[in-house]
Amino acid sequence: MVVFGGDEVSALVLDVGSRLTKAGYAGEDMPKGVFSSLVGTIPASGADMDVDVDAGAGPRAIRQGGDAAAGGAAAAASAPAAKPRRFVGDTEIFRWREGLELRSPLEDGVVSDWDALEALWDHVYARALRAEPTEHPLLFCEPSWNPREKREKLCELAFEKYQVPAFYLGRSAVLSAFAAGKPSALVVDSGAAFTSVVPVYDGYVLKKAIRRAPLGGDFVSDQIRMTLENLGVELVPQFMVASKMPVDPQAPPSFVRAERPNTTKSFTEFGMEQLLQEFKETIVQIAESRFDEKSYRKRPQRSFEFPNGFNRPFGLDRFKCVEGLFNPQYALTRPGAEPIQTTITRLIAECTGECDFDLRSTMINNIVLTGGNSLLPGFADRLYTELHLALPGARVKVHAAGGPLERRFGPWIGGSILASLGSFHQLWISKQQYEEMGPSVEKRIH
Amino acid sequence: MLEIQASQTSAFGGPGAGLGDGMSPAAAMARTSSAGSLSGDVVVGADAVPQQQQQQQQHQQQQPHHQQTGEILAEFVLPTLQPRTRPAGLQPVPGHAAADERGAAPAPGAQSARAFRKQASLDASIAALTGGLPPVVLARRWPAASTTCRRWRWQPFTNSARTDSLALGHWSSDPNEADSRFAAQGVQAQVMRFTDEEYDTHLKDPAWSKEDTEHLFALCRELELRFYVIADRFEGSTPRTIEDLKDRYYSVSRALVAARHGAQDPQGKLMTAKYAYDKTREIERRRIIEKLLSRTPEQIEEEEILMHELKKRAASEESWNRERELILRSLMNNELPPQTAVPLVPLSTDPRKKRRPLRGDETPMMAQGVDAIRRRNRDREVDDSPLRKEKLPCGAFLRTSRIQPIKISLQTRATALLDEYRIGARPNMPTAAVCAKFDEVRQLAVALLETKKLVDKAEHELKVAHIRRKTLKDDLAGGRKPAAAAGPALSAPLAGKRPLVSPPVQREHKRARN
Repeated sequence: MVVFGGDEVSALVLDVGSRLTKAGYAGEDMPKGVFSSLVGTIPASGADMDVDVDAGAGPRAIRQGGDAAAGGAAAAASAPAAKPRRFVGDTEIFRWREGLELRSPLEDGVVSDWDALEALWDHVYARALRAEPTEHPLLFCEPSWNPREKREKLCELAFEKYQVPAFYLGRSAVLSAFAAGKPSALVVDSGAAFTSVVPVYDGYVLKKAIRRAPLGGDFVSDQIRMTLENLGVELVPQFMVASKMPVDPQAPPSFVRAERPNTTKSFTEFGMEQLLQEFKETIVQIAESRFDEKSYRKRPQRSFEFPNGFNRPFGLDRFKCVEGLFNPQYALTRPGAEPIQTTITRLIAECTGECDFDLRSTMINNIVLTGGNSLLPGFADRLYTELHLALPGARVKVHAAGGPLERRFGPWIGGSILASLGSFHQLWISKQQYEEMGPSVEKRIH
Repeated sequence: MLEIQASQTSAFGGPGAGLGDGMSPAAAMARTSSAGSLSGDVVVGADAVPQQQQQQQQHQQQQPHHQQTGEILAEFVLPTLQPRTRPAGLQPVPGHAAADERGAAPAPGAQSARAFRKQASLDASIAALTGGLPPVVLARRWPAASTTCRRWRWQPFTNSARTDSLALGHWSSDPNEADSRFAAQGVQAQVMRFTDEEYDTHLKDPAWSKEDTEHLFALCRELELRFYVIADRFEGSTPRTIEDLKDRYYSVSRALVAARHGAQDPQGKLMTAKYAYDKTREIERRRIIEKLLSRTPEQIEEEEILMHELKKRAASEESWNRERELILRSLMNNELPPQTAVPLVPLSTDPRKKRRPLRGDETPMMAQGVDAIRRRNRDREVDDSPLRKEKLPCGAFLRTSRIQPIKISLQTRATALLDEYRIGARPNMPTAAVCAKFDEVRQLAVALLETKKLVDKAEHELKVAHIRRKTLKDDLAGGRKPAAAAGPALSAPLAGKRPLVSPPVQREHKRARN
């Protein structure tokens, strides 16, 4: 692929998201390695003994990769008996294992579990890309609100443990805007954990105006789950089903429950999330205009078969269960939980209100929609309709990439573009600079 | 393309035509190509070769001019076939060859010779198939590529725009590459620097501490004067607006220029102009924008309606002007060009002026102009002809046709009235004056009739009122209650209608009596 003004230095781009980790070479149009960000661990105990060969393949491969890559990794992995067993990558964590605990390295978009992050990072080098960390500059995508100490820790990790020749922290909103070809934009990133609205001016994030709310894919999943529970549907994840028989619509399911002793809560949640993910991808739709039950009741129904064989059609609930994203009165809340009062539209209105007056029209004119949750059918149309009503007199323009991959990997693609530009060579933080300034070198990255 | 080729072949009657008799051109083409790839569809065995060659020779004898085409063929077709003629050393491995030749797997040693022979025969058979003609698509003989090519190496390079000596690697064909070609893009904004001494003497400001100023200038340098971002990232002792920051930056820069260059220096003046900034004006601008952006939806809607109305008016103004002009011109009797200034004759000199009061709907200016024209007209024409006032149709017309018709409801009575005075349906001598008078008389007759009608009505009402008065009086005298139903029902509509008797009609009535 020829890039205008490009000069490849075989940089790597790594984006650790709440749901997916994306890794690949700069200058390519899609990440080579895409896998779940969840890291599985089995506590070191007697259960260690009866883990089969297949399960051991993952950590061992990482260990080998780590050996070749950095001394630190080798030292960490040299005593496997004392360490909990670790599983990274889709082929590892999707399989049920006794006592397998899954956790995400991120909390609120910011890295909180550094061990898990290192495990992901190891997996990228050792298995997903099979690359030598010392040979490739690394561009790491970080959330726009990443605090200073986390950035310092990231720099430290990259330079000390992985010995990368050059490093850069790209703010995901800026990269998403670049992926859309805009230096200034209002980036609406609706990801798994939350939806964030970030104004970007000339490639810089305006931090004070950032707004975000937990209105992401997890929120939608939760809404669907509550809707299904209210409808009296028993949710059985795929891994709990040993076999099933076809049944008529709405008939009670006939299936054999699999024997899964000692399944952790996190793994059950993970299995449930897969079920809901499938439901989201096939059934759920966002009302394109203002939702009212009367007109949307007429829309065609869609049938869904759950992993246990139960199936039934869904009509109005297809639309109603996600209406909470734009209309808080339709949002279901679990007893005791605090209801979310805001909407995506309100976030955008607040964010533009916080921006400088001169920038407002630019921002409203350049709304870039990205993130996996924005792939819900009708999301972009609805956002446009709502913004039109919420911001009268403003020329609203929503830029949403057509392809689903572009929207899922928005920040990664922007990073790929940025890191392959010849003029970007001046911005890399080199090892030398790190040695001079220490972790506070992150100040150079605005 | 294929069809052209086929028709050419048959036109020349070559052996290809014979072969292609029962075959579509596309199939022929497919066979030709499969023959080229050694699949052995066309040429089945070695015995086929002499026959083909013989045919070709025969063919060439029959048509001598094909000798020439044969050469062209060698020029154009053979090059395309050459790559397929593998040299003996590059024969495929036996397994592959077997697959190629569909099961015919001879010994490896004998195979190379046979394959070569087969290849030679192939070329001939293809020549036979194409009828010895060059193909329509010319295969060009490319000039031989130079044997040396640029060597691309993965080599480290440095970028002089960087402050350190980071060596990144890239693919490059230039072994002595000095600097990255993107180094020139590392242009930085020119932000002035100041010393402690300069700060103390020139730049002190009670609202700003030295640390804040230095922090601001560091940010300006790092963010290259993107003030929106600077305002976002500024972490001074007190929160400051973007105007504060800009004002401080530009005033400090101005003060530095003035201190370094002196007030009179032309370059200093130029640079001071570069750092010009008017804070109050910016704040005012911000206030206006704020006002603009904080309009309610109702205000925006109202504004839109007003704008729409304004546009509509602007669009209709032209047609309105045109109409006005037209009216004016028709008033001026179509005789004066619109630009001609009407001479203002003093009104007092006109003896007849007093007879002609100003009409209410005329402005004095208009009346003057119209009067002046009318005066001029009167000298030549009949006084005040009603026909004059209207726009005349073009072409010849009967003057009587311009006489105003009488209302249908009054027609019989008006005709009867006119008959009474022995005035006919048309004037006997229809000159302009007579017609005008005739018309006037008729209109007056109509007016008279209308007035009479009104008078009759009024008299009737009066009569009714008298009767009512009388009955009421009687009732009062007789002690009976008044009949309420008849009274108001009759009187109220009459009372309402009375003012409707319009003043012009009354005036006309008077004039008619005169």
